[in-house]
Amino acid sequence: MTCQTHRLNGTGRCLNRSKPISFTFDGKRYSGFEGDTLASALLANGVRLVARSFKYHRPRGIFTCDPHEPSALVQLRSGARQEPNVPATMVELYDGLEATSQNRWPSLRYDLLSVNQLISPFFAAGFYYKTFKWPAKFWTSLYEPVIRRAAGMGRLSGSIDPDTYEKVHHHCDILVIGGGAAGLSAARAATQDGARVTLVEERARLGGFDSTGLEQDIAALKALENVRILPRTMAFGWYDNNTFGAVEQVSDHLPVPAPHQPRQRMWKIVAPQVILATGAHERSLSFGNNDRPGVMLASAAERYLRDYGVRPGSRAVIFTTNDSTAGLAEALRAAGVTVAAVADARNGDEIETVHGRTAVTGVTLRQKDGSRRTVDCDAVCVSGGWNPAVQLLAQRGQKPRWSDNLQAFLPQEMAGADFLFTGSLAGLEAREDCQTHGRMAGEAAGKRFAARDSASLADYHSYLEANEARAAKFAYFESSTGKSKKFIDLQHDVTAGDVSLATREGYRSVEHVKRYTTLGMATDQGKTSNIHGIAAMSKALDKPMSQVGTTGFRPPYRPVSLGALAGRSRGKHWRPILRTPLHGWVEDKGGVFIESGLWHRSQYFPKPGETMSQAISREVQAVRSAVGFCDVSTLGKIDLQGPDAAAFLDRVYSNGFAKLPVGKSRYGLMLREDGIVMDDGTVSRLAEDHYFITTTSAESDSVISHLEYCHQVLWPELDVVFADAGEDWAGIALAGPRARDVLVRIAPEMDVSNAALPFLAAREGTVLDGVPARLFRVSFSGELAFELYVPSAYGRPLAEALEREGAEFGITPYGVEALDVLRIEKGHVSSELNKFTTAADLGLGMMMSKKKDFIGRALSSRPGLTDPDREVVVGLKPLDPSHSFRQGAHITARGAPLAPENDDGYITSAAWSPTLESHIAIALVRRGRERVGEVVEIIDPLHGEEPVPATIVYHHFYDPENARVRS
Amino acid sequence: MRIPCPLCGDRPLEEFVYRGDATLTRPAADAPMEAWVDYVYLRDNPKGPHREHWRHAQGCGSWLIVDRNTVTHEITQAIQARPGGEVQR
Repeated sequence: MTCQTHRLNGTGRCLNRSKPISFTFDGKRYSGFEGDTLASALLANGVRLVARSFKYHRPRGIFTCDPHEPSALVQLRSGARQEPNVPATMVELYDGLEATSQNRWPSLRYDLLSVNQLISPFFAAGFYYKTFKWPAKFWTSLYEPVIRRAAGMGRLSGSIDPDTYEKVHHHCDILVIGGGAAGLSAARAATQDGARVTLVEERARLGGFDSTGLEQDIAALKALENVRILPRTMAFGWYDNNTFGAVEQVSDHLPVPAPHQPRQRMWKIVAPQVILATGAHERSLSFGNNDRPGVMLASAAERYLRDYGVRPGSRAVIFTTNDSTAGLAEALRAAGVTVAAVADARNGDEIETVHGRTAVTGVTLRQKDGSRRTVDCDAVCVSGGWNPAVQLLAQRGQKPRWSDNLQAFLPQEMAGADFLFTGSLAGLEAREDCQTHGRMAGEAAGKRFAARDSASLADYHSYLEANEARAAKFAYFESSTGKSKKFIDLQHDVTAGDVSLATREGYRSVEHVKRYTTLGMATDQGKTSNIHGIAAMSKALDKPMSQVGTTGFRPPYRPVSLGALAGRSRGKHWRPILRTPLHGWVEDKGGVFIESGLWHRSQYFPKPGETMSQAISREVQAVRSAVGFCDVSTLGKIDLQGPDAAAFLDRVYSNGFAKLPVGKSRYGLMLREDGIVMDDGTVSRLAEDHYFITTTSAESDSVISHLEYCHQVLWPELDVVFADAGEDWAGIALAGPRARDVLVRIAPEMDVSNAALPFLAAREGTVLDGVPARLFRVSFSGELAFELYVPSAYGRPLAEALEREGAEFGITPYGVEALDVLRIEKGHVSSELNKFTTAADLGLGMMMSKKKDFIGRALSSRPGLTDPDREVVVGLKPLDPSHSFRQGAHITARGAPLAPENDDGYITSAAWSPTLESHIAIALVRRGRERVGEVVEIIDPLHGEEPVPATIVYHHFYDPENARVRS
Repeated sequence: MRIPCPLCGDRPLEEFVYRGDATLTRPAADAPMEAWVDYVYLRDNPKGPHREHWRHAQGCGSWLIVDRNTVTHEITQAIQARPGGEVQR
């Protein structure tokens, strides 16, 4: 274990020196204290080189003490909990923490890809766009694999994340974002009128940049009952109607989350009033080799000294443009650091370039008179002023405004009906100013809440205006001379030279320069660098900063893990599962399930030793020769009642229902208003003003929504009510020549003879000793068949009774595969209702009533939908019955060259028909009905299959006279 | 975004399904084809106030008429589409 060479004695507000902590970086063991961040602990151990840069693989160190650290990104933990690209400045140290550097090979110190620097002229702005354009085939074979290997920073573990993430919806009266001096004052003042206040702070501790002296304020706020404080919670997005997204890092500071605790928690916060106190980000300056490990923001150096008892080096040079560094020299000296020079740009002094490769060894200073001198040092503390953290505001659509006095982009509007700004975000600097104005903002928000109208903001505004009027910040961004690279975006390796190259190449908009150079597009979103890109553009284009403007900002403010976004919606909770009332029974019978939408439906019921296709054929043959039954509970079911029910049905279905007698079912076709078929199903009239409707399983929700629209919006004058009864009823189809023999035993109290219950009859009655039932003589299979509905709870008893009572007739349960084969043999359309077909395409043109208006009537007569060239439903039989084909295969005339214009349609349903002992298909074929008897070719180049010759036939393969359903 | 459902109160966007322009009237049965094409296909894309249909699908199921500003997403009114729905909570 190495000793903490850079640790000071005594100081370190955040440290608990009685708790030493051991951790590893790149496998080497180090020690720190409780309260350290990984960054402060590495600095304390004298570790300066912690990362390699993205493009040039230049050595990088710790640049900030902030969440938006651009350089010191590390890979944290190992195994399934491994996490890439974590800023070392945000990692709270725990015992046994493992971190590794990224983007280097074979090691951090000897990184082979650092040769990229030598060929850096080729990596200038727009490199990708200029280089990888041609030849096109090189993209997938060469460029992409090589780039992918070289790109990226850390690596994902590739394992399932073992931790959990959760989501919380939170409502409060006033939300305060930011727990610095201004946010603390605002939150406290906001409670005075009784408002429930929530304060979110992205760091672990409240108090902002310097919490010294704020301890009592923090304690007082925590003691208030109507205040909720969320530390380690980053507000990442501001959405409409003051809805905020925030991520709480519940357990990231622990080795492993505590039992039943998530790693992170996603907060969705709704607040009628919000006070933004998001603070400001210190910016760097642009000078030669300003990215060397040892170059650090002045505020970071100050915080490492004060909060963590770490000195950034032993000889420091300060480079500044403003007063915020006033106390730094003294603080450094007090820590035993020699201040070798202070270059104040306001006096005309600047750093031209930094010396050293993997760490700073000195700087060349250029003085006002043009003279140069070299100063030995191992730390450079730099401050280019402060950027208000306007990112959330920009998400809301406001363009920030450039202030010449403050030399910063400020919020365009400092207040709105539902938001207020305060603190350094509003351009304030002194703590007293932040506290005073924070209090004004808090009071105003509290009054707005209490009175539910606007409080006066006169003082609030005049305070900010006076502050801005007083300010006279020095305009300085870039050293005037020097040949070394001046980095403005440390994380994406964008230099001042890249920006001027982009402007020379004709880019004028800040948004375009951003994308061309990738400036500000890294995980830190350019928080320390964007302003330098704008300044470089301003210089190159000779336009003021205000006219160059800023780029937009979108959520998230900082990266959000996918786990937090997914929350609990993963694995089997990814989406809900719908189970039918027969699910348990199917499981017990050894049935295989298939996912169909959200449903788990019984696919087939294999017997021992049977293959899937053998089981399906057996089930089909049982229905054709004896009797079978199938769970059809997934069908949509709607109960419709009212004096105008018939009129309503007439308008929503293409065929007529007014004349449907009580006790009868009818097949119905529903169109969209554009004339395309939407859904089909049966409508049964149970009483004069009472109908029972079934829809397809897939469209049950959209049909309900559509009918509600028709009823509530189009024809509210019709007196009808309806209810989604989908989950109320279990449905079973009973089909086969012996179906009636079984039904007699199941429903002894009902007369189910052919005379009393003819084809398409609909009855209410009882089954199984008094269970209420709805019985419809409809058939999807082409056999004598019934659909039987009982209350959901009786689904399983009904299935068991059918199995028992049907045993002597050879009853066989069948799944959706056999159901599909049966309906293809019979030629019933199903997957042919594919949102492209009309009633005529489906061979159902006779269902288009000419006697009434209905949804879809007018537009179904459009020329495009009545074109005789359209693809219509036909059947296909291969010349050789053993030749199979797939759904999606295309049809061409025999001998036609393989070309798009010769495409005559495609297969919509295909199956092996055990009844016909042949493969068969239903297809949509151009002018298909005129071509019955023609031999065509089925082509399936995507599956690499040889063309199959097949004959176009009438699609009702089985019992076209419809005799069996009436037997 | 949040929509004040007249039956359920202020609810988040995820509970609603958007349909579109609420000012259209379904043409009469004998209206010319042009009227039907306009009704089904032609839509204005206004910048600013827009009156539109939403369904509170994950709530009461009501179809609503919502006045929304397409720029600011400010919602000035949400009522039930069915007659009598003008009555606010």
